[in-house]
Amino acid sequence: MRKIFGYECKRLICSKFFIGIILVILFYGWQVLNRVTILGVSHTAPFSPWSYGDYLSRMIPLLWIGALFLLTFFTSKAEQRRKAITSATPVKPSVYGLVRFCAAMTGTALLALVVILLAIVFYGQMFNWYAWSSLLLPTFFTFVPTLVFALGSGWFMGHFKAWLLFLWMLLPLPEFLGLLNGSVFAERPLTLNVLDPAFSLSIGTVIAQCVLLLTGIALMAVSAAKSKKY
Amino acid sequence: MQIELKELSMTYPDGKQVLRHLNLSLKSPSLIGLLGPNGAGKSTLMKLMVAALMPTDGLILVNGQPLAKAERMLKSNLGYLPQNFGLFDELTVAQFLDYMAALKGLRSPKMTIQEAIKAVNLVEKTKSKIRTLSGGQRQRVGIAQALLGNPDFLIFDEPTVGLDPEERIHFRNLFSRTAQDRLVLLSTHIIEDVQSICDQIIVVNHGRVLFTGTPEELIQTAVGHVGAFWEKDLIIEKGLHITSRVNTRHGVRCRAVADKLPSYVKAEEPSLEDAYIYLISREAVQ
Amino acid sequence: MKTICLFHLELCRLLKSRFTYLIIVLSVLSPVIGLILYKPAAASTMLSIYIANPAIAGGMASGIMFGMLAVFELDRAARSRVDILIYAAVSPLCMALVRILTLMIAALITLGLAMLVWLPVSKLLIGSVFGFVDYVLAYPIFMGLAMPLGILSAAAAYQFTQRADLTMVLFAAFAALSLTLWADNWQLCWLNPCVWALSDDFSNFRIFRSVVYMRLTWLVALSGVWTISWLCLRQYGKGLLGSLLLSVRRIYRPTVALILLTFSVIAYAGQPMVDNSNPDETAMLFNEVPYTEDVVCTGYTAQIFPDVNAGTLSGYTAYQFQNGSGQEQRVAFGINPGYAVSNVKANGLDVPFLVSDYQEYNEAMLEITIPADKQVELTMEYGGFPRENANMSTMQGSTEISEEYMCLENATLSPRLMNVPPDENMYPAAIEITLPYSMTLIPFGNSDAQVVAEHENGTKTWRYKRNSTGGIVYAGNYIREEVVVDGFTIEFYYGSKHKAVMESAGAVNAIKSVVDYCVEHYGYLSFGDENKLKLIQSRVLGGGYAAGGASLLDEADFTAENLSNADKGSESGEVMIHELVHQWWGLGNMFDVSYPNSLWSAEGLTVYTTYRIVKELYGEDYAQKYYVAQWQKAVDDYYLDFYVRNPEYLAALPADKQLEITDNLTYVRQYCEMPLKILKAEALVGGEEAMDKILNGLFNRELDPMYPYLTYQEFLNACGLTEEDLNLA
Repeated sequence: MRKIFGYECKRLICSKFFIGIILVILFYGWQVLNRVTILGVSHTAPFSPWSYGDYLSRMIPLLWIGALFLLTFFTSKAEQRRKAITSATPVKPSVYGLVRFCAAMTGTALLALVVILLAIVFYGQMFNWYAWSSLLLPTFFTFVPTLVFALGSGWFMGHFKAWLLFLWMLLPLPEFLGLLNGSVFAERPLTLNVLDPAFSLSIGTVIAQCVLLLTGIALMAVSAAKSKKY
Repeated sequence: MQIELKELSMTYPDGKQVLRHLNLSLKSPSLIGLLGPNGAGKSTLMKLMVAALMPTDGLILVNGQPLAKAERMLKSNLGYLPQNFGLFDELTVAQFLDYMAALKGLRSPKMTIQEAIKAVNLVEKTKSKIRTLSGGQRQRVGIAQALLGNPDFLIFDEPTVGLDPEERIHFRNLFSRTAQDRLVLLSTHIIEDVQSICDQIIVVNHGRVLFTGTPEELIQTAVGHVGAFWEKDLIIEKGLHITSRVNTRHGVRCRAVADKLPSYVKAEEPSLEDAYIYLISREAVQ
Repeated sequence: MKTICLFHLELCRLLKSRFTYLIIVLSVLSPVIGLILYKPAAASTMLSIYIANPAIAGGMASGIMFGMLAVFELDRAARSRVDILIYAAVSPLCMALVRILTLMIAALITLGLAMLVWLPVSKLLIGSVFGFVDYVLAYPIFMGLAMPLGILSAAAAYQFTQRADLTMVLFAAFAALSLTLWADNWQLCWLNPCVWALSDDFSNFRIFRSVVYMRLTWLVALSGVWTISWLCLRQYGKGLLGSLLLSVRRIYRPTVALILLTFSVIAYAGQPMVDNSNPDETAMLFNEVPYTEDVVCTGYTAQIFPDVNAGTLSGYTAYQFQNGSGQEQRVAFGINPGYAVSNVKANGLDVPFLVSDYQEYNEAMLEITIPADKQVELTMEYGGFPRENANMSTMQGSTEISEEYMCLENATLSPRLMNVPPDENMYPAAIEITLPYSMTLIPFGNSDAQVVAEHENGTKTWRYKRNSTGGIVYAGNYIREEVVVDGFTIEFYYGSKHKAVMESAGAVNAIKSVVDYCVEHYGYLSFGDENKLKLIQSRVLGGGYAAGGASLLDEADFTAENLSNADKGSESGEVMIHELVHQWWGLGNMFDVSYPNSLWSAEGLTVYTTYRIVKELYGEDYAQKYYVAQWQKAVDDYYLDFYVRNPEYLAALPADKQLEITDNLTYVRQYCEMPLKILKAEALVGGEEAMDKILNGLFNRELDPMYPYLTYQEFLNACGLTEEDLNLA
């Protein structure tokens, strides 16, 4: 299956789409960093985990769309035609689905990495700041649950109708929904009553993110188990 | 390898019944031609045999075991070329076959990939991206992936569509060679292909088996029902199925099949195509 | 002919598609978003709430949806593999052209339907101030033009990439840029134009012009991009470049694309709407222009002819100088950067002049060399489309010149003399403005205007006198009411459209209560003629200002919506009080120019007094909630700000970022920190009564003619406190 995984990654990553979305991420991310993050959120430094988290959460809609588009590689009409051949092989549909899901996850992780690297370059160039270790927690907290949920829910939906994925892409776009816009980074520091507070999360937020993560994993597992054979 | 179909029926969710109480037995080595008009149920039958569909009724036995239990074993020994299929355009021919070999669980697939590429005459296109291939070349890649790992059971649905005559002959011979020790099911509309290589024929129409037997047996059923006449002599066309119409210097020469030949039609030796048309037309009359 | 037939067929096909129906229906309904969720126009005028917001939101939603429809339709042929059949009969280029045109027609139909549906709704919601012209212009401009932009951008992206997924991402990013990062750049926000307000009582042509300009610039630019993408349409099995090389063989095609792109770049760079004012609003280089020696100005006249149809103005001005230096001198004027100057003559002879590239506070500097003659009469002609301050580019609309409304400020009215001192008579000036019959001219200040001539072309010439280098005039369809409070005469001017609302809201009584308070606590105003004050309702402005004898009131403070909302805090109706209070605290002779880091300005005492009046009118809880608590929060935020605590990081930032942050901090210091300090002083000196006495004393103090300004130190001395006593930390 390693070979399949390799080929699926190659298909996703060496595509025009992937290069295109990386260019979009670089442009959009640089604009966010220069216009919003540079001011810092809630009295903290632009390079604080809070401001960085705010930047990450502003990039999530783009990653969300990117992740779901990567999934459309496996739900498109062309893919349905390919299924005529691949479904006649002895490999279990659930295993095959899981391998492809992992490839989509890898693609999404690479997109997330681009977002992170962009911030690192920005912090270095603007503030000569290189203490990256403090950014690990917000990165994990922001990206992992959201993107796992995006992929899990997207994978789940893609099994029913491919067009549901496109509808699902719109979810994080309207700002008023605020579901995934990470307002926690702007609000939480103010509630801690300390200047430049260390990064921490409220129990409620941790639970919410865990629920998001577990829901993503559960949907992923359900989708893998129920991979359509017929 | 032995495949048995018992009282097999298939109705799609929209209510369309495609197969009705089908009974068949296929045993290797054999090259079986599956014939039937469009919409007869050939592709559905093949999909059922590769476990891409689940029958609404009846049973498929693989080497005596129900397909549900033997699916993995069947697929490990299966090469399948569907009628409509897609390829990974972004991969090269070799990469795609490597991918399919991995899906089929073949270990050290290099040799078998090379053999398959050679068998379908695509050696010079090994490193070409699939998106750059012509329609015929894509068809050959499809055949190559079916041949990977020398499976015991091969199903080809319209394999020679889009191939030039030379290639068609090449593949006919390939299928024939392959069937020497294996079971090959070949669905096609090209009667000539069937006639030249198949040792058995199954004719399906309206979800039912109309005929099973050798090509010669099918031809025999049409003896006395095929004839030729000049168009100018034609009196009543009803009951006549004209299978060819040739403009000559002396007028238009027609060939036809009929349950009962009119007097102005001179009986001739039937071909496999005549026999097939006769079989289908007779069913339509009934 | 074939193309026309194809167009007809394609249009019929498009309009039969269920997805198209869905998009049209959703687009027609989309203005409802502007009533509930997305309200970019922040002003509380009825037209802002019930026309601008729905139309902009409708434009945003329909622009995005038509972009998606474009992708769906362009990808349809490839998706259903019918492209091979179509392109066997018609060239891909021809088909793409037909498709884009049909999409545009669908957008046009959608706009028509939306306008029909929303007309009765808007009329019902807006009530008596509904303006049909505003409605008919707002929907096509705010909503209608968004759809072709969405279609063109999405179609261009698709034609470049030939992939629906990548196109959707590119289009989403392009839309997101407009909605987020470009939202404050009036030229870039293609989807959501910078419209912060529409006036109920007066016309809105200036803001409409601005949005039309932005949208047309984008339309031309995207048409250019689309044309290039059209040339890249894959043909003959070639890739992007190969197809492009084939397509450009007909030279007119790339030429059209290049012309469109070049034109859009020129339109973007050479926009006539806003100037290039220094973004550093604390810069005052024009104030530092050295005064001429031995030259005095003895007076000037100006004749001004606004063109109410074109929104432009032309004028003629004549300055009189006495040049005692015996040498040529360079005199400097501030002039609106949108104006062109011509025919500059001194004593009838042409003299050299130069208009600076540098601009500051919506003025460019016009430098003219006057001859060595003892008496010099300098005349010049000027005119053009007045530009607005670039630093306020998201709030355009103030330089409205129409048959309904006009506001001409300082250098926009006539060139403002910068560097020539006056003689003992100061700067006596006679200004004449020719306006349509229906308009009333109101000079901002003590002067009164009279009609001196009536013309056959439906105009009349107004004339007024003033005694300063600058000045502001308002003109419009105004109603004048005279209010007398404690011997104080208030001339209250408001738009005739607003009569019913003003009467029902009892605006006159509100004015009386403010004047009552200030006269009682601080005394009469010591300037102006016979304690007279003009209160002028301006077109929606986002605030107001006051000068000798006049105060400006924003129409937004008097909208039916605003007046009926009892929950509104200090940011809405009380602006009127704030601006009135500036008559007591805040005129030019009361406070010196404040510096960026300075706390002390006219705003501190004005905001404090506004708080006191509001406290008296609405109670302590209200004042505490909407004033003190707000100041405290802003000040807390200020002290906690990362860059305030770590100025070394601020210094390391790029200059424009530094400026943005500093501007924001200055506002907090003057509008929030200072009132809090005064409140602290009030507690330290023994309460409100004691503070009132102190302020009364300061207001009526004897002025030092050399430095008449009230300083922070004077305030501290009067309170018997030191700066440290008022530390808030």
